[in-house]
Order: sequence, then C-alpha cells, then structure tokens
Amino acid sequence: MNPILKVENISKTYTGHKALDCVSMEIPRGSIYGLLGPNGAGKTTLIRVINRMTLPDSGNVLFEDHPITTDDIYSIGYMPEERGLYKKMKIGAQAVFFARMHGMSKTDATKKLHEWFDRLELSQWWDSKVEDLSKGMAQKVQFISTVVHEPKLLIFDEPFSGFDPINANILKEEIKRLRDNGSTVILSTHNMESVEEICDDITLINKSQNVLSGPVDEIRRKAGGNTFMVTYSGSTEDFISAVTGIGNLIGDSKPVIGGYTMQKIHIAADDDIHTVIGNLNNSVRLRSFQEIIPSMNDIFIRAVNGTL
Amino acid sequence: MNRIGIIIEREFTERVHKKSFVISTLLSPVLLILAMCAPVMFNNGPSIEDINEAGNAASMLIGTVFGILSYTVIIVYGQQVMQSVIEEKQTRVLDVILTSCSPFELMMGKIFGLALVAALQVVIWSILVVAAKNAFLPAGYDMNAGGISLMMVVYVIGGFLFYASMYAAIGSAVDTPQDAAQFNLVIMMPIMISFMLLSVILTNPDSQLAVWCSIIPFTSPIVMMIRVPAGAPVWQIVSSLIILYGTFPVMTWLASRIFRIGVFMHGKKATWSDLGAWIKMK
Repeated sequence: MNPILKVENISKTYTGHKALDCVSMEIPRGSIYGLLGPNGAGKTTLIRVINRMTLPDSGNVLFEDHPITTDDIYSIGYMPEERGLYKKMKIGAQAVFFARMHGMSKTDATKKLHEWFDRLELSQWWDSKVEDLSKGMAQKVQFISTVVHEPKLLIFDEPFSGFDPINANILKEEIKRLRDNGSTVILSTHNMESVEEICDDITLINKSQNVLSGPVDEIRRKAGGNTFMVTYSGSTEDFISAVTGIGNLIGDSKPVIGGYTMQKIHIAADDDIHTVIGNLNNSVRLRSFQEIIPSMNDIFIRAVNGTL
Repeated sequence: MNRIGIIIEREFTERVHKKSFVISTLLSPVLLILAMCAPVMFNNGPSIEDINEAGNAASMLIGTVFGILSYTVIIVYGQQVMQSVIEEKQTRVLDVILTSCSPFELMMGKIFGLALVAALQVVIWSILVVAAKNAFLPAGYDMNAGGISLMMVVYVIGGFLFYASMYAAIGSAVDTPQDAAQFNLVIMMPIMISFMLLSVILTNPDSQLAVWCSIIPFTSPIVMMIRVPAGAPVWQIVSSLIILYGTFPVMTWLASRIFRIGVFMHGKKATWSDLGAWIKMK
C-alpha cells in the first residue's frame, strides 16, 4: 500500500543552526510511527514542517501522493508537546469547540465526546475548568480533543510525558485502538519502552539527520547482529572447541546458580547457528540458547553515540 | 466561514459569562446617568431657558462622558484581543487551533467575537441611558439621547474594528505581554492624543483641528463622539463614518499579513523591521 505521508529531503536552517538536514521518511498507512531522537534533534521542527507551521528551506511533504495542503492539515489531529487548552474554559465546552473546528456538528461532537469522556473516566468533570484539573486529566482532555473527529492522520508530540504509568498504559491502548480502526499515528517520544510496545516503524533523528529508519522488529534484530546467550554446564574447553571456527566468544563467561555457566557468543552467518547448536549439544549439557535482541533503549543510545 | 462563526461564538459566550463583563456593563451607565442629570439637579428654576441652558451644559458633559467611554471601550477591548492572542500563544492553543483553521479565520473570529461583546455592552448602556433620561428628566429637555447613543454604538464598534486587528497583530508577534509594550505604545498614541484633545474640542467643537480629527479614522471614533452631542454637521458625521468603516479592511489586511507569520514565531523578540518584513513576505 502506498504510504499515507512521505517526507522528502526536508532541510530547515534557523539563523545559523541547521534544524533539519535532508530528512526523508515514509509513513505506512495504518501504522504507528515513532519519531525518536534526543532533545533538540529536530523532531518538533519536523512535525511543524509536516503541519505547515514552519516552511522548510527545501524538500517536500506529500500527503496521499500530493503536496500537503492546508485542507489536509485541517483534517489531521495534532497534539503539541506543550499542551494547548484554554485554562478558564469548561473542558466539555472546550472539547466541543475543537471538534466543531474540525468540522463536526455540535450534536455529533457532544455525543461522541460524552462517549470518550465516559471511557476515560472524565464525565464528572465535563463542566470543570482546566485549571481545576490534574495535569494527567488535562492531558486526557487534550488527547480526546485531538482524536474525536477521527482523523486519518494523528500526530502526537511526546504524548506520554507527564502521565503516570497507569494512564500512560490507557493512552497506549487507545492509540493502538485508533490504529486498528484505520488511523495512522505519528508520535514523537523519548520513552523507548513505549516504542517497543506500540510502534510498528520508527525513524531516529540525531543532530538534524535521519540516522535510522525501518520496522522496529527488523531494526532490533539487525542491531543484535546474531549475538546469542548460551547457558550450559560442562567443560569450558569443550564449549570453546564447539564454537571455534564458526563463531566467537564475546566477553568472559559468568557462573550462574545451579552450576551453570553463561557465555555470550557471536555467529556471523545465519546458516551456522544450527551447526553451533548441534556441536554444543554434543559437547556440553545445553541449558538454553537465546538470541539477544537489544532494547530500543540500547539501540537509541548506540545510534546517538554512533556505535550502532 | 463556518469556522469563523464557531470562533465568534466561543469568544462571545466565554466573555459574556464573565463576572467582569456583568459588573462593567451595569456600573458604567450609572456614571453616564449621573452626568446627564447633574446639571438639572443643580438648577432649581425650571423655566424653559434654564432647561435649555442646562441642556447645553449636559451636551458638553455627555460629550465628555461618551468620549471617555469610547476611548475606554476601544482600548480595553483592543487590549483584550491582544491578550487573548498572547494567551493562546503561551498555552499553545494556537498550535492546536491552527491545525483546524487559517490564521486569518482565527483573527477575524476573535475580532468579530469581541466586537459583538462590545456592541452588546454599549447597546445595554445606551438603553439604560435613554430609559434614565425618560424617567428622570423633564419632557422639554432638549437632548437627543437616543440619537447620541446610536452614534456611540456605531463609532465605538467602528473604532474597535479599526484598531483591533493591529492589536491582534501585535499579540501574534510577541511571547509575553511585557514584550508587547513597545508596539502597544505606538498604537495607543493616536487614541491618547485624541483623548488629550478632549477639552480643546469641547470648548471649540467646530475648529479646524476638531473637524480634521473627527474625520481621520485614527482619531475619529473618540473626537467625533465628543462633538456629536454638541451637534456636528451631518455631512461630517457621514464622511467620517464612511472613512472609518472603509479603512478598517485596509488595517485588517495589513495586520493579517503580520498575524499569519507571527502566530508561528516563538522565542524571538520581534522588531519593527521584522513586522515590516512579514507584511512584505509572500
């Protein structure tokens, strides 16, 4: 399927500072797309370029294969990092206002919003003002206002910041539900756990450049680079001779409870993995043989430090 | 168009429900009515000449009070436009809203929303004033309270519309109210000058200065209000109104050029030359 959004060679320079340097990415339709990167890498600038709040110096943003227009923007849902709500307006009225601005009728908006407020347990605060709510509740209101008009494309800038783990989970479930109902979601985040949990694909931006892109599973597997953790009991010499020639040891072995030893090994070719397992099975008592898939956190740090 | 309507509706309902609106709507007419009745109260011989003389004095007072009121309304409501833009910018509501409408729609929605609030307030004032006149003043009392009140509504709204877009533009260009001060002063200059001319114009309402100031749109909403109770010629009133309402779109167009860029600017203090550049920018 053709991607819903294509970002092509976007560059943007602010007075003397290059915020984006030839960044490209493709957002597959119906996916949750993570936009990762350290602070100041250019994530928010990229989002603002997509929203046409900032005009790029060069490059294109294509929405459903045509250059993105203001009408396209009005049909998407955007939640900025710094939350945007009227402090002194009742949250119900406020959510209805935003929904109507996105083209919903008053009755339709009110009905849908009551459903949302019920599900996220906000109903009793319909007539409260934002300044009287906790930060988490305000963020739920913001979230609802962003998604209630059921946009094709949703953009969340740091959606989990300021949420406790329980509410963050609720939010993750809702984001997945939105994807399953057909929306495409772009989210920028520092929270690498949530990336593993919900993102299908990612782009990692560092120092204004796209340094890593692709499906999360593929990236993790690749970054693992055929590294395995083996737990066994038996002679170390037998173990080494079983591996030698096909793979190599990484680091020292570690004794573990029950008389077992743990050893990290690397096997260059996929086809050799079976051979090594066979050899090991013959020479030592094999307890476990497990591929090491690095966490997104590791990958993030390695990518940013340039050691991936 | 529909989106402007929704913004107008929000601005109007939110503001009309505020306590400050109710208080200022009910308190100000008391001032007006006192001003109107004072000359009659101090005059104890109710002959027709006395009453007419009192009427002249009342005209002057009414002129003063209307001048002060239209000055206040234009500044207070203009500042509210600016404040609300700055507030939306600070809370990032702007970022959210501007993914659902254009900067121009937002600006027009705000201005017309506040214009409606101002109109409602001034109309209530006028009704109270006319009612008070009928209730407290003798029948032969020669003063066209209804006509003057109508003029008041027309000039205050015209003056507000003329200035509001510029206030919106300034609000968009700054991050905090403090930053707005330097621009604010320049906008307020003509409004303040017309206010300072108050006594000069009251004593000589048909002088060249008074006539010119009541026709130039920067000063006319206030200066003409001072002159109307003393009986300004109809042709002058008509031409000043045409010019005021005719130049409002020009001001709005200029302001919208600044606004569309300003709303997306953060963290950098805009200068006069920035504003100029934004107007010219394609």
